[in-house]
Amino acid sequence: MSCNNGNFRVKKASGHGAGHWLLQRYTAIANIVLVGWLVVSMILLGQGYYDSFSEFVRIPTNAILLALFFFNTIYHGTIGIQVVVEDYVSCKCGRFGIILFTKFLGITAFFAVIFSILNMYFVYS
Amino acid sequence: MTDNNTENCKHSASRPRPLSPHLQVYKPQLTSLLSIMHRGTGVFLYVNIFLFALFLYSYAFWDKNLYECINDQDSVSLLFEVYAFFVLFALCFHFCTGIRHLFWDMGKGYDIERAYFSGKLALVSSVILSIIAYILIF
Repeated sequence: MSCNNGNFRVKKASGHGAGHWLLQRYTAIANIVLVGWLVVSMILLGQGYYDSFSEFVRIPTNAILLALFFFNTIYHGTIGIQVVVEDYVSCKCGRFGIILFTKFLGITAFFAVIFSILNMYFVYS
Repeated sequence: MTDNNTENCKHSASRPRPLSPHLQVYKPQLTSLLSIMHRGTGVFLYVNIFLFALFLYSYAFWDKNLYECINDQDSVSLLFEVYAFFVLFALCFHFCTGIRHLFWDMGKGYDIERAYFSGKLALVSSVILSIIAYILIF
């Protein structure tokens, strides 16, 4: 970030440089819990603890945790892909395009998941 | 800014420059291999989130037999089972090495001995965890 201060330019830190880095770690910590829950749930599903997948989703804690799992993993993944793209795509326009595309893709997938969960929770029988 | 960008693109197209982290010149060793694999499994899992999302969407709005189909031992192909194991292994591996990275972020375990020990621990525990999870799920 730079601002024009009179006849010379002052370069200063934007103050949120560590934001991505910190969010990557925060979502990672949340993922420890959410992925642990998901694996345990998959084991219960595999053992035939639930009759169907929609029965599993119709339990409120499962629906909420599944939505949180998707929010968190898509967030964590999108920031992660951004770092990988910034490392390996040297062309600045391509880099911007790919990062923007992953953000659109992530938001679209998240809303698709939310509507699927709501459909299973309220409509499915 | 725009001129600079197009010039940058042209330059990288005519003479590709090595990109950091330099995968092709870095000496293969446990620590670097695990770091690269952490990234690789991360990208692989990123793709699989969308496959999982696609499954949820298809199950909710298209075919409610989809889950029963996947859960049924007889209808599942060997290819799917191998793929499912790979996803589980990637998940466990990224989980274990991710915890290792979080300890590094707290400034712990930086010396060579501990880095190698935690690396071996993460690798072995991810293999054991994924095998246990696979047996319990399928």
